[in-house]
Amino acid sequence: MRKLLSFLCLILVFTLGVTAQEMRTVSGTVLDATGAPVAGASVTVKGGTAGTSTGIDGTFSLRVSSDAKVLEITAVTFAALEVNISGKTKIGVVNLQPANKDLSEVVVVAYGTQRKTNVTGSVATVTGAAVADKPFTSVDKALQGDVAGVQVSSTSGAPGSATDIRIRGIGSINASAAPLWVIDGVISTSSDLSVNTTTANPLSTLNPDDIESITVLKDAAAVAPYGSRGANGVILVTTKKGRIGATRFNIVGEFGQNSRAFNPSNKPQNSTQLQTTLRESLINAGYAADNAGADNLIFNAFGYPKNYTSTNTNWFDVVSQNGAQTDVNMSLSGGTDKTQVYASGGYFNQEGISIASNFHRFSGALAITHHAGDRFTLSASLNGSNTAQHTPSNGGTFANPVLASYFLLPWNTPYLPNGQLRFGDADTLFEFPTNGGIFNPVVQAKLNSNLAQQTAFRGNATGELKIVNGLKLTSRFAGEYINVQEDQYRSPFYGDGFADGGDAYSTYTRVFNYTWSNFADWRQKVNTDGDMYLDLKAGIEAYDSRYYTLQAGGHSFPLTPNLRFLASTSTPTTATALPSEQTTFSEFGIADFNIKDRYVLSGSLRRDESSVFGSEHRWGTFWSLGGTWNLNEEAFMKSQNLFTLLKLRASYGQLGNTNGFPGYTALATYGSGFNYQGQPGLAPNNVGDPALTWEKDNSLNIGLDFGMLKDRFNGTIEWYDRQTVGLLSPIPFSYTSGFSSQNENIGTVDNKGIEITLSGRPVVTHDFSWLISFNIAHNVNRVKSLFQNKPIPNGVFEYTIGHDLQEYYLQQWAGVNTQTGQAQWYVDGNTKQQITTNYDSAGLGLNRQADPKWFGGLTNTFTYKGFTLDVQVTYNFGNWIFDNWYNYLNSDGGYVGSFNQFSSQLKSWQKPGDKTDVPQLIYGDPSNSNAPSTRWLYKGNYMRMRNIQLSYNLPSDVIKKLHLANISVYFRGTNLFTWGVDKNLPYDPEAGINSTANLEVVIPKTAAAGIRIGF
Amino acid sequence: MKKRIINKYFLIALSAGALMASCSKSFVTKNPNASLPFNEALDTSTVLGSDLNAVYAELRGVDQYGRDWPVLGDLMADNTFLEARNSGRYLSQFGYTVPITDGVTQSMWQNSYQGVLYANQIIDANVNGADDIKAQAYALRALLYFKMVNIWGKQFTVDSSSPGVPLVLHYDVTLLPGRASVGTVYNQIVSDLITALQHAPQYSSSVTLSYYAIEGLLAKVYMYMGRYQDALTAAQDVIDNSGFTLVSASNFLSFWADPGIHTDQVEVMFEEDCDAINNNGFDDLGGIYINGYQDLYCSIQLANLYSNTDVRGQLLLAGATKGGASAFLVNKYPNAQNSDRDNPKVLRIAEVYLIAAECENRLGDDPDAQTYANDVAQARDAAFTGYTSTGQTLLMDIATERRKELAFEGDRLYDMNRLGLPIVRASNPGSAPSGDGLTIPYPDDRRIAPIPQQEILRNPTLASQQNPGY
Repeated sequence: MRKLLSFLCLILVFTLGVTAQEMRTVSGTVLDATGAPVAGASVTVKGGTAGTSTGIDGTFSLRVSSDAKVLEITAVTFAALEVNISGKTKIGVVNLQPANKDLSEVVVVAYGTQRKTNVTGSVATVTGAAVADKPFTSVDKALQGDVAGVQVSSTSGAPGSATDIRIRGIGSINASAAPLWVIDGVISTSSDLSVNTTTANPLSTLNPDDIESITVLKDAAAVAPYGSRGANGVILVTTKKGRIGATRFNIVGEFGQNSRAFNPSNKPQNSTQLQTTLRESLINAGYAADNAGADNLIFNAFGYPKNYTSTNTNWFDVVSQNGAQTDVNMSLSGGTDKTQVYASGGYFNQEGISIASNFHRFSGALAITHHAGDRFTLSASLNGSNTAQHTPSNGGTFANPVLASYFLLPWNTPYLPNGQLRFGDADTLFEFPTNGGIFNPVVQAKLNSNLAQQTAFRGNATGELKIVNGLKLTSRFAGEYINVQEDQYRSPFYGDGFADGGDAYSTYTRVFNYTWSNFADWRQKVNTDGDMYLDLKAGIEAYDSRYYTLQAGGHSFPLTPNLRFLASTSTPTTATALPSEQTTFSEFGIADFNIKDRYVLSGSLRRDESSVFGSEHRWGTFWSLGGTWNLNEEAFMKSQNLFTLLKLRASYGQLGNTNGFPGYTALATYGSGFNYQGQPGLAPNNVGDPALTWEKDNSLNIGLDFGMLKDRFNGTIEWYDRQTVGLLSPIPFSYTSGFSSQNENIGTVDNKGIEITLSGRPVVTHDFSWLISFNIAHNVNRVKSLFQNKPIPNGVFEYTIGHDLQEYYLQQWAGVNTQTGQAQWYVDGNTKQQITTNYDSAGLGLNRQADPKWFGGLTNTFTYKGFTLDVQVTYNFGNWIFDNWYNYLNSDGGYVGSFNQFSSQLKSWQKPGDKTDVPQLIYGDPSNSNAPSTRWLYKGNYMRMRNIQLSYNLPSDVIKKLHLANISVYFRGTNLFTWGVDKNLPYDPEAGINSTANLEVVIPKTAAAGIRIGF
Repeated sequence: MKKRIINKYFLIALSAGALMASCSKSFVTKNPNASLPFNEALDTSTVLGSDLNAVYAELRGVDQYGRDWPVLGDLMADNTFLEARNSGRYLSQFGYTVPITDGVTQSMWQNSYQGVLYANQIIDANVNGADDIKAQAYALRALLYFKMVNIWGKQFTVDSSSPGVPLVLHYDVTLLPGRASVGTVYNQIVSDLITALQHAPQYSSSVTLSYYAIEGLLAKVYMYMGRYQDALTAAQDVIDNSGFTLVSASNFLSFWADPGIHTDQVEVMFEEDCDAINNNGFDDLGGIYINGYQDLYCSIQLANLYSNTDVRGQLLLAGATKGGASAFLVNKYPNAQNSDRDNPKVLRIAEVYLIAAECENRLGDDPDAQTYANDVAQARDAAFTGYTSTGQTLLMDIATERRKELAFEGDRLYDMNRLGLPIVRASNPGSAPSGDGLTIPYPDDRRIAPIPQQEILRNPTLASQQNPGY
């Protein structure tokens, strides 16, 4: 300790000495390899404390002591650069090279940062700009196509809706297969929090503009430090922090318009088409001899007016709106060498493209870093926001406007001829039932509301104490507080609320999570040169997740449209409150051994104790081992100049998954709520499994990173094999047991795949550059073992050994008999030999998967002088989309009088010899031709222009005259084009992880213009 | 100075670590807040009372008495029709094209066995002083099996050795039972009802089972088994001793309009309670007829059976289908939009009279048969002079009286199956053409529901036991 004290004194003297010295100012301009200015680069004196950051034009000036010799310039995605400043006051232009050339670049990893040289695992970084530059409500949606092996698919285009993400395939079926989100050290909630509205994505409370970088951890070496929560990958989000230097202000304003991204060619029929279909169906069924006879039925039995085909409503248009959107962000960043601050405020507003959908967000962020002396650093950050969103109901509900747009008959109209809305007594033609059935969506949107509001805070306070050089203690308390307030109002005048005099349901949901981590970092030099060393990290952690929900409902409102909250109802119907809690206590250690930067060995060990499991099964141990060989550091590689980087990595480990385990599943329980006659009722609701434990993921990863031709071309190729054992899988019971299934740790699923990421700069001249980056991933998902190794049916899928988890198990469609026009299926779904026209004899077969076989993204960036054009295309191949609503909308005459039909029905069989996929239309079709079969599947392939952006940086002389640091203007389009879609698919091809169309708010395309100003 | 600061931080970190480590045991023990472990849910008679509520609640569901059972018994026969402009419900049942993947069939199966599980757990609970609760559980289990064996099996009187439904009497999720014979299932039903009678509670209200309601059910079961003497004995005991009375013609309409619980022993012996909070919402029984989807209407054949002076005819409202065709709307369940909802009727004293009438006729005592039948018929229609027919004609008259009395309560199809009658539908204006004017002969495979495909996939024992015709 005495030694330490004298060391400290020495530092003190040194510091005092420095202050006493003479000062001078050094200035310069930092540009990238193409000559474009690098904004926000950090400029510091090597070995000293003085520092600043560059302006948007890349310039800086810094006061340094007169004997300062070297400046260190660093910036995200660029390699650090050292510049000699001995005796200089101007250093002119310096050019930064892209980062992967230099392995000293630092990446964010579990519990800290790491030099790239030392990375043994699979780690991918996305810059904050890449997500902030897309006009989505939440960061998850913006990740699509950015990282190889990360599948992002939205089921809904509603603003503020949740999005599915899978990293390297589906590794869980009954727990969560979604990755863990860690935002500034906060284990964050990413699953949909809505209770009685349609969707409330907690990630939509984070302003993408406050994000500095995103790191995706994919393999065991990278993820094992997260132990029982990391099996499905980890997404680390780092928010922006203040930088040393003069205070910089940035303002971004963007304004845009949303409309439907994909316009299917197979649309609902118009009036004349539906008339044809209806007549044909009635005649074929023998209810009428000719069109006149059919019309007679149509007028008398169905009750449609004689001139019904003269009306033609396009319900797609009726339920759509052109949604405006506004995004305004302001931020400031700056600080001294002691204290740095970042603060921001943002406002985002997006109107959905379905009526009754919109989203607003106010957000703010504050981050402070303070160096108290040389050894103690406190950093704290807080992100807060309030969101409000309206989302209509989805799926098969009567109030779903998207459902209405497909189901409603084209001769129905939302308005009366006098412009009044058609409903209630005014609806003399009974087009829209008052008490149930598909409502007039325009009236719904006008009278009812589904509002979800979230208030979220994520924050952390981190203290770091350097004990001696090489030993650092960190204590971090990171927490997340989200409350979701949902208010549903259904008017007494019309729709779902009509029957009970109007009703309201209000829900308050609160999530409070905290993670308290305490760990020590220690660097042990192994040799005297210090180029062989061991980095060690060890710590303990407590995680507590508390969930609370309070729900109330009532009905009977005063008959006015202006009182909309529960307080005005007369009869309470629902009142419930329920807390639940999950906790984990952990111990962990991480070690990296670096040998002259050539070889790096890493290992980690973590023990977790979780409250989710039975008392005898709470502890689990997770570990990983990894190794890297940086070939380019070898002497024999110094003589060649083809490769500037060549790095071979391998890792293996065992991870766990407890995410999404329903709490208390281990217990056999009776649940409450089975009430009768106003008395409480209890009934068995869980079979219970005392042996319940985590899913374990054995994960192997081999990767190769390379940089060629002075880093004109770079790439990463990875191969992985992750095997999930102890898969929480359903043990199906005969329904006669009173239960349908129970989840137990029985089953194995394997995800194997390759990921390729390539980037290059084919053209780089002084004025023009072209940057191309490309990624693609291929994943093969195979079930390896199951309960008694027997197939487990699950809806339209069946889990079967040797097959994809999401492979369809359906009656096999054998087309339409060309002679009779009858629907046909194969008797044996596997051999597909014999054909039957009896649906009940049709055999089930297992084929065609819902997961894409290939997916990824391609980005081209062209820069010419001040102009930059960015084009990103994402793609997805090899999956099939299941249409849940096929039997209603392609009913072959079955529902033709009740619901509209798709125009593909017009290709129906007419006479012997016709080759078609649509059987003869028969009203009340007894053949079940429209019953579930592979006929309901569509090819899911598509490519989409995810983003195109043209921006222009005003020339620096213009900006100087305006006394600003920079101005750029840009135009962008999102989802502007979609190609390669199955021409019969009537829905957007982006259909979620399970590729099931569920009549959600459609995915939007956005055209926007914006301006960025810095000063 | 510096040294002390460092020590302080050291201490904070160390003590924090120690604190966390020491708390870990209690930190990771968490219990559910809205559910009970099995043993705590089955250990006292008071908690068994709550378990029993769940069985009653189960029977209230849409797939049981809540809607499917009362609807299908009429729609698959000749009492109601589905209009052309409909909400898509019950189309395959109306047109007799039910596939093995049919959702209604699967839900009826799945939810019935859930009810059986709830009842089994109560029956098997090792608790003293809960005899009255167990008695109700026995009776409810019998009721569930009685409905199931009639939906999925042949009539006892036709072939009692033919397959009925799997008979599950104890909780064991691993069982893969095959179908017990119709006779075995009926024997269990009878045994359960007799056991129930031993400790059955006295009448307190119409929404729970009491002694005479259970005995009335027993009479019905005996009649379905062709044990007419046993059925008659039970029915007569109910009629003579229960204290239940037929609702008078003057109170008949207000009786059906009233969604409340009865405590007056008038007419209804057991009904499923649907109240302002615990109900089936849009899917309540009345919604499918009149205040909601309004898909189903009274058939012309049935409407024409009611004389002008028959008060039951006033439960039909002359009106039009949504498509505009003239039709009779069923107003037996008018409270689908009100706070308190209609309680679907499971057993009424009128049916017990008609059981007694049929059994007297079957046993050869036509005068007494006429008396019982007239008790009901004349309570509904004061102008009716009384049945005078005998033998087979009287049997058919009683069947018609059952049809008129129990219309829209779900018995017609099973009566027709029991009596071996073909279903011959008339053509109804506005009807969905597929089932309109349809004739289903007797016997016909399609009158018996398919074992749901999902059950067969889960339970391979049943793979070879599907009903013929599917």
